[in-house]
Amino acid sequence: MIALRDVSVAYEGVLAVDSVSLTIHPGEYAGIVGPTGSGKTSLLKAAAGAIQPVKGIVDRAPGTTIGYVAQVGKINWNFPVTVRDVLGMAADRSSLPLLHADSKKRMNNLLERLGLAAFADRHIGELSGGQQQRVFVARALMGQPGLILLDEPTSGMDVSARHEVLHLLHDLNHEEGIAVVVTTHDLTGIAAHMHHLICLNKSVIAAGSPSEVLSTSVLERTYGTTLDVLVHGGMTVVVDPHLGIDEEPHHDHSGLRPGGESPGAKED
Amino acid sequence: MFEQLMEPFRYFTPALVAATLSGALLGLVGVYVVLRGMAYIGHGLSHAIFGWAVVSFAGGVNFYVGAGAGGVLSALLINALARRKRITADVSIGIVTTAVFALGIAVISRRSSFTKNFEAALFGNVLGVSAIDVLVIAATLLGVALVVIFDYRRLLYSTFDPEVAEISGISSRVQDLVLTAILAASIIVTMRLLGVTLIAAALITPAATARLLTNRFGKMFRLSVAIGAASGFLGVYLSYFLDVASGASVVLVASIVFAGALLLTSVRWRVRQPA
Repeated sequence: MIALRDVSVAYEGVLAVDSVSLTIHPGEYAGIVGPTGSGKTSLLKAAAGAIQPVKGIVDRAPGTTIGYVAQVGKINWNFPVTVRDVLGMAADRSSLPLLHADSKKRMNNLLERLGLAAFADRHIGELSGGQQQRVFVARALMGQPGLILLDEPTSGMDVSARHEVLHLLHDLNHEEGIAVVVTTHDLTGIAAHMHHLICLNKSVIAAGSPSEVLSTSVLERTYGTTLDVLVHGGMTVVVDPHLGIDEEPHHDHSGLRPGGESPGAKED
Repeated sequence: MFEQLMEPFRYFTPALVAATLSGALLGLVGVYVVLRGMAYIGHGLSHAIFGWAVVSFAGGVNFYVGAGAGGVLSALLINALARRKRITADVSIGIVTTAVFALGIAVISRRSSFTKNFEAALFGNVLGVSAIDVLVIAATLLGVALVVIFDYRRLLYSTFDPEVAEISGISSRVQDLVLTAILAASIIVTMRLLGVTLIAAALITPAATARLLTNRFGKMFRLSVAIGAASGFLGVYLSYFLDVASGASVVLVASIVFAGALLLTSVRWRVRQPA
């Protein structure tokens, strides 16, 4: 679908992504993980065509339609729009206020399919975190994409909302065959459920299945700190991934022993 | 009594029609200005257009042609300057618009005959409104309404979520240009009536009032246009009896409506809060 070949992205001369090559195949279910500033969002935007790489090529197969879901943290929740208005933004080529009958039908199907029909005429600020994320996924689906790119889809969400989003992405991939690529900090949640993981810190540190990639040595090279990894019920679990992300490191390591119960391990 | 109340219609009819249409026009454009946080560019552009108007008058160029071309040039200069990494948008607005305003002031200070017109341009004047001006305002309102209708979802998308709109193929640069063009046109045609110093308030106050009253985008448009038109009409109507500058009167009416809406929404919010 999309092939990035030796792609580098820079802002004001500072390299954000350095010589990354990767391919997104039809039906892919992949995650990009890495610390803050590792170039995850830049890589996603380069794949979406939102920014031009300073080096390398982004090849999109003819007819590839992409849906993009940005971080909801950037949304102005006081903006006077309803759920229906948000979906309508991406409805069709015509820019008139009234929607074409086909677009209206598609919108209603999506509202129903994503469990948003009951909130369709509500202001976006009145929804829960999980519902809000579903609205933006629904908007991305309005263009009937074969690939959906999501930037930190569970950022700032509580456990229940994170599970809601995870199930939605899983269903879109497994039931509708839509390729899904997410960037995430959530190593124990979303990342561990993906079929394919890419560890990024400006360049690709490792890529493969979660069980291959989520190892202490790879994570140390990605995050620059030691993270413990354990296998629990067949799932690879990284213990307290926030150690490598927080500005102030945690000093209490009592819950980080492999096999020990940490709050992070309990959540998933 | 009735005859007294009808007096403004006898002397002011073109101005009343122009003020109502101007209020509706600024209410319409004001929705985007408020939602995009562009109040400062509205304020700045009115000053720049004033500067170009003075320069074109001194050079014997038609007001609409001179101020129109100058307004577009100022907007392009602001955009070009703001694209430089070390200069933010508000700084570029401040530099370009104040420089052109200063040019206008410099031309005025060289010609004493400008003094009376200068005051009228600053605070608004109903006496100079002709049938041609009414037609120009009406045509601009129609044109802007058509742009807003035909570019409705693209403008909404790029205002709400410019980053994803861009990925979806909607150029924010084009939408910014469309908005700047309709903003400049609206300021040019309403400047004589409302005055340079007061036009920014007439632009944002109806839209801000509408925003207080509704959480719906479509309804915000309807309310803003209605409040703008009513403030324009009432402001000029009352200016006849109060003998004040038309621009000041229109802005005061709009501000009173805003204060009323603020009070109403505050009371409504308190009532909804659990004890």
